[in-house]
Amino acid sequence: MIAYIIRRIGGSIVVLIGISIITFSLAYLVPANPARAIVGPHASEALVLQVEKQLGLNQPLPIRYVHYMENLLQGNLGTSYVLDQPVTTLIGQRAGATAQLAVTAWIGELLIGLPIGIISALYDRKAVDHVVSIFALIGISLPVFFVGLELMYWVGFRLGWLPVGGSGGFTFVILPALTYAITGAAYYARLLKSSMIDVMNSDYIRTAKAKGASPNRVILRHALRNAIIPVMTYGGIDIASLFGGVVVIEDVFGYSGIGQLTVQAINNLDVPVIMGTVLFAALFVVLFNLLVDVLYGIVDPRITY
Amino acid sequence: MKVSKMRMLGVVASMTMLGTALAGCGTQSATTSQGGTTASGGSTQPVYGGTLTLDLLSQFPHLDPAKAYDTTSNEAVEQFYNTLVTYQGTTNKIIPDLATYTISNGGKVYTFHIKKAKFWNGDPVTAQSFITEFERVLNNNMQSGGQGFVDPLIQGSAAYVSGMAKTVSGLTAINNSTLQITLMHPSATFLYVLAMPFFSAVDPSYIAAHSESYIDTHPMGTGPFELSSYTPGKDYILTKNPNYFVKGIPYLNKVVFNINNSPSAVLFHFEQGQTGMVSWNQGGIPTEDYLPLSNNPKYSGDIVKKTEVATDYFGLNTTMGPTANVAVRRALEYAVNKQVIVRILDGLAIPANQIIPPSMPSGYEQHLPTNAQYTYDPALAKKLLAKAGYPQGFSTTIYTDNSNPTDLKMAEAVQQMFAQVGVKAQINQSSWNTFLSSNETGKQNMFTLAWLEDFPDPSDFLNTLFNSNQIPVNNSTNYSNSQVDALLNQGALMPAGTARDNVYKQAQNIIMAQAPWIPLVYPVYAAAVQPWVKGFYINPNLMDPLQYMWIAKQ
Repeated sequence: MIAYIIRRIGGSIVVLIGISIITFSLAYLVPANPARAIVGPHASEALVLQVEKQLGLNQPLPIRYVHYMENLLQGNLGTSYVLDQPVTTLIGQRAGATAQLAVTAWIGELLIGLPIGIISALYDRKAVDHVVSIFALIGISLPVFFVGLELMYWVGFRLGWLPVGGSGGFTFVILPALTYAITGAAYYARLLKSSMIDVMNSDYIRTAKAKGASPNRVILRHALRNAIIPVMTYGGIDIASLFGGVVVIEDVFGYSGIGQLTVQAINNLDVPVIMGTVLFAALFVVLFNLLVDVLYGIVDPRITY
Repeated sequence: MKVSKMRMLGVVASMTMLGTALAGCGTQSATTSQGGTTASGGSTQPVYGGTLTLDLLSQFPHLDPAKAYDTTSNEAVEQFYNTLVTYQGTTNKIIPDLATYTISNGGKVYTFHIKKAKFWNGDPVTAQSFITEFERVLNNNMQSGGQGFVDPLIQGSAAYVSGMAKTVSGLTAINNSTLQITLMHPSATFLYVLAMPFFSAVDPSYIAAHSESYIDTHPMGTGPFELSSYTPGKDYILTKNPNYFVKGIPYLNKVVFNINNSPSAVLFHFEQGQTGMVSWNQGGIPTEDYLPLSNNPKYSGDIVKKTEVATDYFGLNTTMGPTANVAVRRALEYAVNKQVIVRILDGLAIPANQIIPPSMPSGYEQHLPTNAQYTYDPALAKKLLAKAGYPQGFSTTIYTDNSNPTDLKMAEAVQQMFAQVGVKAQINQSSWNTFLSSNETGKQNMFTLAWLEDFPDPSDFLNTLFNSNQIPVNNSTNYSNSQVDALLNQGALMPAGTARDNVYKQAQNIIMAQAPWIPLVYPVYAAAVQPWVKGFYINPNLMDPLQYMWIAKQ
C-alpha cells in the first residue's frame, strides 16, 4: 500500500510537470505582449522594452520555463502582470471561498443524488422510478446559469432569504452550491441506480436475502458498498474540478473564487496567474484521484495494492 | 486611451479604460455644490452621515496613483489622493485642488502654491510630496502609464528617465509650500495632465518606508476617504477623513465596495435598494442591465446619461491591401449604416460623423466640408468601389476582440454592410490583449476599436492617433500625411484658443477626407442612482464624486 502511494505520488509529479509545460507553452504561444497593455498607449518604446525585460519576456521560452520551475520549487509562483501581487497571495485569497463552495456543492450533490439513485434502483421501472427519473433528467438538462438565475431571483430577490450575489460568509455560498447540486446530482443518481441494479441482481445479494438479512441490511451493508465504487470515481473527479473553480456559477453569482481569477487572467494574458491557477486545479485532480484509489481498497476488500 | 468598443468585463475593462463621459446629451439627476454650482432637485441641504454601499466590478487593480490607469482603480484612487488641480463639477474647467497656481515665462513655468493639507498619518503635504510622485511616475521600474504624459515635456525628465540625472531639473521646491515646474515648451494641455491621478500628492516618508507592492495595496493619501479595511474577495471599506483639507466634506461616513461583478446580482441589489448606485463602480450600467432598468418605469427616472468623450471607430489600413487606396476607403465610408450600430448598443450611443466627439469642448465641427462627410449610401459605395478598380469587391479581414458581447455584434454588422457592396470580410476575434498586440503592429487590414480621451483636448485624439510619429502603436492605420503632421506639431505648441482649435479642425478635415477611419458612434455613459442618493454628477474626466454625495434617506 505505502509503496503504491509512493509510486502514485511519483507519477503525479510527472503529470504536473507535463501540465506545466503544456500550459506554459500555450500561454506564450499566443501572439500577445502584455508589456504594452500594462503601461498604456502613451508609454515610450523604451519603457515598453524595460517592462518586457522586467517580466523576463525578452528571454527564450525554454529559459523562461526553467526560471519559472526554479521559482516554483521554492514555492514562488511569480507575480501577476496585471495586479502586481504574488500569485500565491491571489490564489490564497480565493482558495478559502472556492473550497467552501466546492465542499458545500459536493455534499449537496450527494445529499440529493444518492437517495434518488437508491430509490430509483429499488423501484426500477415502477411509477416512483419514472417520476424520479424525470426530475433527474430535468436536472441534467437545465443549464447551470438558468438554475442559478432562477434561484437568485426567487430565493434571493423575491423572498429575500439569502444574498443574491457577491461573496462573504456562508450565506453567500448556499445559492451557488445549491445550483451546482441541482444540476449535478442527477449524474450521481443515474450512476448509482445502474450500478445498484447490477449489484442487486448478483448472486451474493440473493444469498444474503436467502439467509434472511433484513432488506435495509441488504441494501446498505451489502449492495451499496459494492455499488458505490463507480460513484466514488466520479465523485473524486467532480470535487477535484470543483476545487479548480466553477467558472459559470462564480460568474452568475459574482462569487470571487479561483474560477473568476482564471478567466480574468486568461483574458489579460496574465501568464503567471494562468500558470498558478491551472497548476492549482491540476494538483487537486491528481490529489483526489490518488485519494479515490486509496479509498477503493478500504471500501472494497477485493482490491489490494 | 485605446479601449475596446464598450464596457468590458472584469479586470480587462478596468485595465483598458481610463474613464470618461462628458457633457452633451443626457440628464443630471442632481448637481453638485462643488466650486459654486448649486445643488438642485430633491432635498438640497446635504445630510451628514450614513453608509453608501456599492457593488464593485473587480478588486481594485491598483491603489497606487502612479500605477492606476484604469477606471476601476481610479474610482478608488480619486477617493484616496488629491492632485494639484482638478475639474470643476460637471465641466472641463480646471480649478485648484491641493494648490493654486500662476503661469509665467510664456507658458513654460508653472508655480504652485500648496494649500495646508495633511496626509492621513498627519504628515504635511509639501512641494516634495509632488516631486516624489513625479519621480516615481518617471521611473522606468514603476511601469507607470503616466510617464509618456510628462516625459519629455518637463525639463530634465528625459535625463532622469535615462538615468543620466538623479533629479528632474524642471521640478523645484522653492520652499515647503511652493512647487515650480518648468516645461521644455508651452503646452495648452499641461494642466489637464496635472489633473490626472498619476500626479497626486504622496507622502515621501511613507514611500521611503514601504515596498512598492505594499503601497499599491495600502494607500496613504490626503483624500476625503481612507481605506479602513480590505477583505480580499469580499469588500473594501472606506471611512471619512475627518481632517480633509476641504472643509465641510465629505458627507458620508462610510463607503462600502462589495466585490460583485454579476450583472444580475448588481441589478437585483439596486432594485432591492441595497446599493446606492451603479456607476464607475461597475464601469457604468452593465450592458445586460441597461434595458431592464431603462424599460422599467420605476427606475427609468434614476438613470443619468452623458455622451462620453470617446469615439468607436472602424480602422482601415492605409498602407496594406485594397484600403491603401484612398478611393477604396472613401467608398467604404458610404457603406456603413451607423444607426444599426446605435441599435446594437441598445441606444447607448449616437451616430458619429467625425473623429472628435461632440462632447469634446473644442475641435468638434458642426459642419464638415463636403469632401469630409459621408452619408449611408450603399449604391454610391458600390459605384465608387468599381471606379477604384474593385467592381467585384474584394476579400479582407476585420479584427476585433471579445471583451464584450457587443464587440462581435458590431463587427458582424459592418461585415454584412460590406457584403452589400461586394466586400467579403472574415472576422478575426481574439482576447483583448491578443487583439491589442496585433493591432499595434499596424498589420491589421481592418479593425474595430474605440478611443477614450485622456484629457479634454483634441490633440489627445488627433495627435495620438494620426501623427505619423505614432505609427504603428496608436496610429494603427499607418496614416501618414505631412500636412497633417505639420498642423498637429504646430497645434502642440500653440496657446489654447480659437486659432489652435482651427488648426485641429483643419487637420481633422484632411484626415476625414482621406478616410483612415470610419467613425461609427459616440458611446453614451449611463449610471443608475437611487433617488435617495444625492449630490451625484458626472464629470467627463473623473470617476464618481463620492465626497460630494450624501444620503437623504431617514
